[in-house]
Amino acid sequence: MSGGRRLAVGLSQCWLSLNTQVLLSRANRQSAVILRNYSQYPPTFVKPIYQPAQQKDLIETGEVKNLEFTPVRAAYNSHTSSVFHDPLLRKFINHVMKTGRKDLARNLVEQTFETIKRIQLQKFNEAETEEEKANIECNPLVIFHQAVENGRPVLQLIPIKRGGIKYQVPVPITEKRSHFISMRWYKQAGKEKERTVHFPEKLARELLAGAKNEGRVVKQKHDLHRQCEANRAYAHYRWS
Amino acid sequence: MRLTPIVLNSQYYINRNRPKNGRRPTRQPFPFNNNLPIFLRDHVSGKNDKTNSVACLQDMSILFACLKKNDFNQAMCHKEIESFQNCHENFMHTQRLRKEQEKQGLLVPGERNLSHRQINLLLKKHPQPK
Repeated sequence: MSGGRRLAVGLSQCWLSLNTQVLLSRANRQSAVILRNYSQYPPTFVKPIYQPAQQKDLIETGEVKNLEFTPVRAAYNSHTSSVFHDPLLRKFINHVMKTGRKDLARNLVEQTFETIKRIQLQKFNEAETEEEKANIECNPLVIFHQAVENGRPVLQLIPIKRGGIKYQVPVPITEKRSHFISMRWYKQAGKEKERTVHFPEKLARELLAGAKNEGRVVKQKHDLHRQCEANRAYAHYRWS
Repeated sequence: MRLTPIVLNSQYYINRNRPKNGRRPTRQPFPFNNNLPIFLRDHVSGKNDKTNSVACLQDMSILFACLKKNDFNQAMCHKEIESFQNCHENFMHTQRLRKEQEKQGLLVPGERNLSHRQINLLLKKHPQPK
C-alpha cells in the first residue's frame, strides 16, 4: 500500500516538473515530453561512471570539470570498481540469468570459466615445446572475449512485408546488437546438450571452440551470412 | 420531364467539339460542390514525410562479393566489413542529426529537401494570400 502511494507521489512530481518544463520552453514542448519517459530521476541526473579506467580518462581530458556540480544517479549494486569487473561479462551473466536468479547465473558462468581454465591448463601442461605452450591462452576472460568477437554477425535478416509477402531483408546491424546476438547464440549453444551434461561444461566447450573460430556459433554466424547473401536482391526493400 | 436546353449547344464534347444538334448528354457532367474553402492551407501534414533512403547498398554488395569469393571467411574481408560498418554508422549519425534539426525546426539556408516541420515554419512566416 505504502509502495503504491509513494509511486503516486513520484508520478505527481513527474507531472509537476513536466509542466514547468512545458511552461519554460513552449517551442520544445514535444521534445520535452519525449525526453521524460518514466524514470525515478529528472533528466538532469547523469548516469554514474564507476569504472576506474573511465574515471581516469575523464580526469585526464578535463571533462570532470563539467560534471563537478551535476547530480548523479545512484549506482546499481552490480556496478563495481573491482579490477575483476568486466562490462561484457556482466551482460552475459544477465543473459544467462532466468527469473532474476542472478547468483545462480553468476555461479554457472564462474563454473564455465573454471572448466575453461582446467582444460587449458591441462593442454598447457601436456604441451612439450615452449612454442606450443606460448600459443595456449589460459585466461578464460580473454577466451570469452575472443569467442564473443568471433560470433558477432555483420548483418541480420529482418522480415519486411511488401505486397502481402514477407521478405527476409538483410540489413546492417549495430555493434551493441551484434554483441547481444553473439552472446545469445552462446547461451543457446550451451543449452542444447544431453541431459547428463551440465550447462557450464557445454558452454565452456562452445566458448573454447568459438575462440578458435570453430564450433556451433561460428557456423550459425556463417549460415546467417549465407542467408543474407542469398537474399541480397531484397536489400533495397528496407526503409532506413 | 427533362427539357432540352434552350441554347441548343450540348453540354458534352465529341472530338473536342460541342455538337449543336441539341442532344442531351447521356451522363450529366459531375456537379462541382464547394465543400472545402478554395484556397491553400497554411500547413502541410507530415504523414508522407518518411524518407525512403536505403543507404550503404553499394558497400553491402561489395561485402557480399568478397564474402562469396572467400567462402564466408571474415578474416579475408576485413577492409570491406569495416567500410560497410563505417558507412552504416555514418548514415545513422547524419540521420540522427537531421532528425534533431527537424525537431527544433531549424532552417538551414539553401536547404533543398525541407521537412514538414520546416515547411510549416516557413508557411507560418509567409501565409497564403486569401
